[in-house]
Amino acid sequence: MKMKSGSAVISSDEAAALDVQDQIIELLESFSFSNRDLFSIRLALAEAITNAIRHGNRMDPSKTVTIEWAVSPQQISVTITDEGAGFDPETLVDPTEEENLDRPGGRGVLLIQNFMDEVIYNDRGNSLQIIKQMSASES
Amino acid sequence: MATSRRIDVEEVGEVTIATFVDKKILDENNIQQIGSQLFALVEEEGRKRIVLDFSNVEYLSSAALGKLITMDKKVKASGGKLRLCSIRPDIYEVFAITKLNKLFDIKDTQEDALQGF
Repeated sequence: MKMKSGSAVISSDEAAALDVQDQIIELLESFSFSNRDLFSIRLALAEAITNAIRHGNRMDPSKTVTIEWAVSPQQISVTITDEGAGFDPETLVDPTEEENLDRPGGRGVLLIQNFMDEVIYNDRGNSLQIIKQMSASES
Repeated sequence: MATSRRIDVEEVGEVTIATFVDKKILDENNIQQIGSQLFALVEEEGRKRIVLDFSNVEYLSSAALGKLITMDKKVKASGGKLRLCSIRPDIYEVFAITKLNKLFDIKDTQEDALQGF
């Protein structure tokens, strides 16, 4: 199967974000990604798009989030770009430190990093590319 | 905004079992509703021993973890206890990566969660 790519521009709206996630997951199913991969990718997409809407665009409905994806039988790459000022992921506190464990927020970036193979930010920090290789089949 | 029931609540002796209805706990509206319905168990209904059953849940985001942490604080503040159970391996990994498996009392099955509670 050849590579398939696509893109979507959504307003800062969580329902629209879910539609895009569903669209990408449906495409991955047609490429026979495993359930385990689907779990990882859906979670990373949900976290990345939520961050773009909430922290990047600060829920401003006049601002958009652009999502671009490319899927091949070997891997998926998705780039999520918001209209915010950007951030430096190095400055985030470690949510797994004992004193931070009971904070309600701040775990999205950690989960994205753990579930994806590669996570690349642009210099401004308002655009994130996530890449996941297809796992060997579970047979 | 219409609010639908996000948790099924049943009582076994003095323990309240709250089972999540949704497969995906990912979007903000849904998570807000789940938070309000969980917090009401403690703040409005005064329940002290609560088991959260995840057997239906296939996806869970970090925002949902935030609600669980707040729930745990509320239950402890009221002198109660909270346990989580029936978490599938993919989701357990989310708890393990974030080290929240240390913060929460997690049991394999509902039966284990009720044992000695």
